[in-house]
Amino acid sequence: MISVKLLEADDKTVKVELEGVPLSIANAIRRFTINEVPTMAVEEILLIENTSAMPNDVLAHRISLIPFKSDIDRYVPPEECNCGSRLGCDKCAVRYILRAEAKDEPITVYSGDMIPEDPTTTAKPVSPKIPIVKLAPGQRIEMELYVRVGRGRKNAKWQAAISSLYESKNGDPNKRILYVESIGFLPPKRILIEAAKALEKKTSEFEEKFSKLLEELKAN
Amino acid sequence: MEIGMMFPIRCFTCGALIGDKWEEYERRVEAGEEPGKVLDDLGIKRYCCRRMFLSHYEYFDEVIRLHTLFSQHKKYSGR
Repeated sequence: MISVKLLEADDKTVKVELEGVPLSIANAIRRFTINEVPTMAVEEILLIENTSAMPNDVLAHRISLIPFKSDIDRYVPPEECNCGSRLGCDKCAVRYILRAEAKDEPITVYSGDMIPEDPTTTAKPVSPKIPIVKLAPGQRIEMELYVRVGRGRKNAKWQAAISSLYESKNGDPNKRILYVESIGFLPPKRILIEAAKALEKKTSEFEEKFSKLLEELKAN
Repeated sequence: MEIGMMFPIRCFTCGALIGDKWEEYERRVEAGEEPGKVLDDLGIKRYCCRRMFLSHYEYFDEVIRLHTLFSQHKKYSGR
């Protein structure tokens, strides 16, 4: 008997009780919530100027870790887009401009200072108040950012959720609790749905290939 | 690279977003509140994320202070 029950849910987390689900499948779902859910982050940076006290690579790394609200119905990963463009089209990339200069007082540059080239874009930083870098008087930065869809498997910056799987408190080994906490890219329920979709896609791909192999073996 | 380091954007261990909560934490702790209580208030539950705040020192502020002095020196000495 398999039963799946929603225990708790709010805007950041979801807790599901899985009963009679094999450990391997429950764990696959947990791993897929982390690794296989498409999310959006800065993938490429065209750095025009950086006279700040922070080296280019550190600055680029910090920017890449900023999570973006991911409209995955509108945007697709670049490898699944058929535009063939190196920098991407309006379906697979969102261009942002980050320009800041400190005049007489030191300033802090925040994620909210990144300006999208297309003001109608739905891909926006999860929080506008993530400090990126601080600038002393006279220092300036200017860059172009390319936000793209990716998956946690490729780089941890796209990790969609923090999930864990554990046995329930009353010690029933048949019952497990799957806890999913969203980092902010997507609502937690959507993460579970996308993880299940990705798992289904991978298993059906495997099934197809395996049955083809079996047919080949039979023929020989 | 440890010198000139700003507060990390994500927790090193679990990857949760923490960067946006640093400034409030810093302000409230400097105002005399207890760090643990501020973290509870900000909704930071796991100890991997909590240690990110508790063990951080904002070296980058000192770098900025130094660069501010440089820029003033340039302004007044004309060099």
